[in-house]
Amino acid sequence: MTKYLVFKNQPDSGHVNEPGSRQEMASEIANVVSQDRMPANYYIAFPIDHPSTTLESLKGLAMYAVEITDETAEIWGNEIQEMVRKAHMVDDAVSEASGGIYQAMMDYNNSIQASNNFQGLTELSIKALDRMFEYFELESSYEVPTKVEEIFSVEYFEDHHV
Amino acid sequence: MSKYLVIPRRADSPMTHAQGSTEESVCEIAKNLLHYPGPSDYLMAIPADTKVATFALVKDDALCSIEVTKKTLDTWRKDVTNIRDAIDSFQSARAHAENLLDQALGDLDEAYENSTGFQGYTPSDDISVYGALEEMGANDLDYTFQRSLQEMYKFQVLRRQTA
Repeated sequence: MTKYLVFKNQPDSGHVNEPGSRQEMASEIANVVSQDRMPANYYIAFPIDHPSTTLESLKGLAMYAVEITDETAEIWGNEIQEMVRKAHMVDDAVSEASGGIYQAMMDYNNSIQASNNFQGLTELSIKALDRMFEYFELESSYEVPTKVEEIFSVEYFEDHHV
Repeated sequence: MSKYLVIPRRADSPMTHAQGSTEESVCEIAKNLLHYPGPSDYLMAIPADTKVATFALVKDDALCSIEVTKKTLDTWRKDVTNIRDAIDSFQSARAHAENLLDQALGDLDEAYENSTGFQGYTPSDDISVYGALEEMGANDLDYTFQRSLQEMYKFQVLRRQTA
């Protein structure tokens, strides 16, 4: 088992995660648990006993610690990456769906308000729609990060620099 | 207030209602409220206090009766189309949303089902637009609007259309 510390990569750091490496995996894991969908190399990871870890720690505190074993690395490659991709597709579908319905609801409500004889019809509640899609986003994005956090024993460091 | 009976126009009848006339609007209203499958040109509106109307009733030709005023005709021409279009757009946005989510959730459900570490959770159990929109009254839009039109035009069905 190797433990990695994950930092926010500074734009001018010149560091990138080596593609296919465990460091890249640790950074992607941090990205999943953060639920922020940041671009590749937004995070940079180093093994805990690596000299860069000490150096990076001096510049900014670590944001996450991630433990990876051969077995969990295999789960990541075989299952989790695909699941994350599909969960993101659900997020995207929720965003697109909510945009379309929101606009149609507004048009409906406006057409009632602008009418002379139909103002008594009940308007559709935009707030209820917002609540519904917020709930969907929470549901679709909760399960995978929670499980990933558990599998990779992710630790958060609350007082990190952002 | 003017009351009209609406009858099917005979295929060989040369008579059509003038564009923009009250009768033409009455036929459009009748088509909408009857869910008449053909165009409104296939209908004719007859003032209810005429002999032709009485004859249509005796012959059991009249499909429905409708009452209009200048104000309710204005409403039909100005408001109804806008609201109807908005309801149609809403229903199609909703169908699109349901479709999008069904597809994405179906894929995610499948990924959960095939996994070794994530089994036991079915995302689509918790994420569905069907029930949520129903609770918001979205299913009743058509019905409620139709009901208010029926009341406004004192719509009465006189003869059921044959399929």
